[in-house]
Amino acid sequence: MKQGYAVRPYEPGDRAHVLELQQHLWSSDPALNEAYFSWKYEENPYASDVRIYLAFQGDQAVGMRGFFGSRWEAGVPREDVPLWLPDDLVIAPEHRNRGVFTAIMNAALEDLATYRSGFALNVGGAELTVLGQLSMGWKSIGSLDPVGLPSPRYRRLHRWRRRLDRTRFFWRLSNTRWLNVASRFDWLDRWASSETQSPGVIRVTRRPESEAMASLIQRLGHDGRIRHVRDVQYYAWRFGNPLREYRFLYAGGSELTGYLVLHRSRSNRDVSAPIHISDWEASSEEVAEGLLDAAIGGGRFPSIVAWSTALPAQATAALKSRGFLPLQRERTARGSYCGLVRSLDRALPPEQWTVAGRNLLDPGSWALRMLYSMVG
Amino acid sequence: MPESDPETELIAAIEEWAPGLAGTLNAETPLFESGQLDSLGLLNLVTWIEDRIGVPVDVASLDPARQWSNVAAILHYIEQRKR
Repeated sequence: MKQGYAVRPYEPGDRAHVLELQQHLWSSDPALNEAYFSWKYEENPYASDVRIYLAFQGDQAVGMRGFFGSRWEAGVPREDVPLWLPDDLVIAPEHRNRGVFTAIMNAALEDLATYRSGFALNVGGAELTVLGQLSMGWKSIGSLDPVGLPSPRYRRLHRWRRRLDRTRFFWRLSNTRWLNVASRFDWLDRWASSETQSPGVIRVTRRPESEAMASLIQRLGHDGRIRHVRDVQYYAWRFGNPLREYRFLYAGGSELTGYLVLHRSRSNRDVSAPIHISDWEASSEEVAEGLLDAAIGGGRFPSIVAWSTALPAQATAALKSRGFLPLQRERTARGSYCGLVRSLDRALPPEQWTVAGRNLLDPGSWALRMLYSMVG
Repeated sequence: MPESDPETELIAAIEEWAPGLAGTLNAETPLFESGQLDSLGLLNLVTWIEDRIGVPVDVASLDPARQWSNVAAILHYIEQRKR
């Protein structure tokens, strides 16, 4: 490797290195980063140890990539699918474009293959990360089809910000609070407690009803496509992400007929990030659309983003009919919203990348939801 | 792209991004088999195809090892999309 870099797996004494590096990515808040690290890598119910690979120059950590625990399934009857998910790539600014990323990934995949055979799945990512992995033999499984709904108010405010940005003296005002529309749950929370809301139809909570959600997933069945297991254990852990704030919209009583999960970022690096639909399930089109309308109407968000790739056709149609448009075509074309897969066995030809009889390179084999990645 | 020698122009561009290939690169030289072209080189190539040639590249459906395995394959890719 160039310039005296060395890559090795994480050791308990590396915690401080990880937290320092992640100030470039997760947030600049050390306490929040500490909480996120603990939740993702130490409290993760699907990982027995911390799988992070660090690059060092001398005793200075200059880069890292993490692989967080997960549990996937496919097929009918279901089979467990061994998948490693890379995430949290950081290269310290002064060490970029020196081959550190390639070195970390090569070392990581070789090491992971000694633990468990299988595949690595990358969901989303920055353009350079996607291109870097493509150049290393990863294969695309297609776009995640992101769609977004900007509110008319947000569009107007955004136009005013752009005009101010171009002025000589008033450009500083473009960052004032009243123009910098952050996504919050204020309106949704007010709507949820207002008398105008029909009681018993849609309710909103701040914590997941894990058992009820898992029960719904069980009742809805599985078409065999590759997806993350969504059971009580998963829901109970998943929504403890300290970098996210969630709202759960439920339809039905103790036996749910549907749910829709929204999230916003708590990181100070995502101040103007939109609200996202992390997950969305329903027993009927009517329930699904009711949940969506409650999120849009009750939330009054500046913008909402969803991944439509794994949604049923009627859900995608519902998004489109309510004004959701394909998101950031330029970024999507650059691969920022695509899935990539790679066999840990370098000798295995791509045509043999199959699990439960499903070809991993066929987009139709996957039911990828935002929730399964850390974007959600 | 000048009609005179597209292959020469592309080879010169790649040699600029990947100096280690300078002097050894021809139309059949593998570009991705052993990491000859890294992520930055691939980004430069995408940008070159889009800006210099005017052909958009959909990265989400790209398979560089197969579609851009060497200079000849890249030129073939470009010609297919210009039609």
